Amino acid sequence: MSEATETVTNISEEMRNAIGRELSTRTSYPISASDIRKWAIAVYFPESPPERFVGAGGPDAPLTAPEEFNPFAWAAPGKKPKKPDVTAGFLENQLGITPPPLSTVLNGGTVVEYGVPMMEGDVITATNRLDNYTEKQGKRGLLLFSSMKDEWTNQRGEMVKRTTSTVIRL
Amino acid sequence: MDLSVGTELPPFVRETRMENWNRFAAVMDEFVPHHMDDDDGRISGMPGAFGMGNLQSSYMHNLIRDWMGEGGRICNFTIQWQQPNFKNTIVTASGRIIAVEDTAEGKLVSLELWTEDNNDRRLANGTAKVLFSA
Repeated sequence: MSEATETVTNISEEMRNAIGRELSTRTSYPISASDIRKWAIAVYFPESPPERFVGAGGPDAPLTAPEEFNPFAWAAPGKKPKKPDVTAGFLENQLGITPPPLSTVLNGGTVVEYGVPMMEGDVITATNRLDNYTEKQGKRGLLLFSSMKDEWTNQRGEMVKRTTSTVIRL
Repeated sequence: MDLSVGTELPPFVRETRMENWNRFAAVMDEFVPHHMDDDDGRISGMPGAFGMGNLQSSYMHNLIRDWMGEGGRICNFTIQWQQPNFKNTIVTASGRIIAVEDTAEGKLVSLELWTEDNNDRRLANGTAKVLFSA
């Protein structure tokens, strides 16, 4: 009779020590009126977005971006476009530590707190940190919950949004 | 505007297909193969290509914005994805008021949100708080 071995934890000491560490900091190019219009057209397609997202814009009446607008989607200063890491170890790979021995990644959800809106001309800086690791027993085995906190500020240091994203790995 | 508990938001409805997903991929730089190609969707265990989770988030934001107009401000938002959005389905984003609180800044309205397709599949659940300034 063979003894079944049960995984007690997938959170290594190295992973535990990485909690709170910065994953990345990035600063956007100035948000253009065209960026805002294109985003709004895409998310309201095939109908027209509200006029406030597609107007003339400019210094006298800068456009306001939709709340969920992403100014980092394409290039950012000093960052070369690269293929995203879609492996289950993407988080630890960013930190340069050994990933847990898990192969499946599920999106566990997102919590967002909004501050001041993003406007045409704004430059957004984002700092992303590893927030926490927790585990829970699920139907398919031990689930590893990994949360990341991403804080965005504008060029005046005002908080634009704080996002906590959770991925579930098994 | 009726801000009483139980009030339902006018739904936001879109037929979802490659036209929507390609446009979203273009602004989000989300050209992930399983969103672009049926064969890659099948490799991921789905019947074909499927839509981006972040587009469901945008549909919920559109629902809130269309309802609140320029008088409200979204203070926070949560989303939990339940199932993928399959091609050529009609997605409806819906919401209802679950709480209203009078604050020093105005009325803070709590919303329950969800998206589902025309096959009664729940795609995402969410919540939001919207402030209507006094």
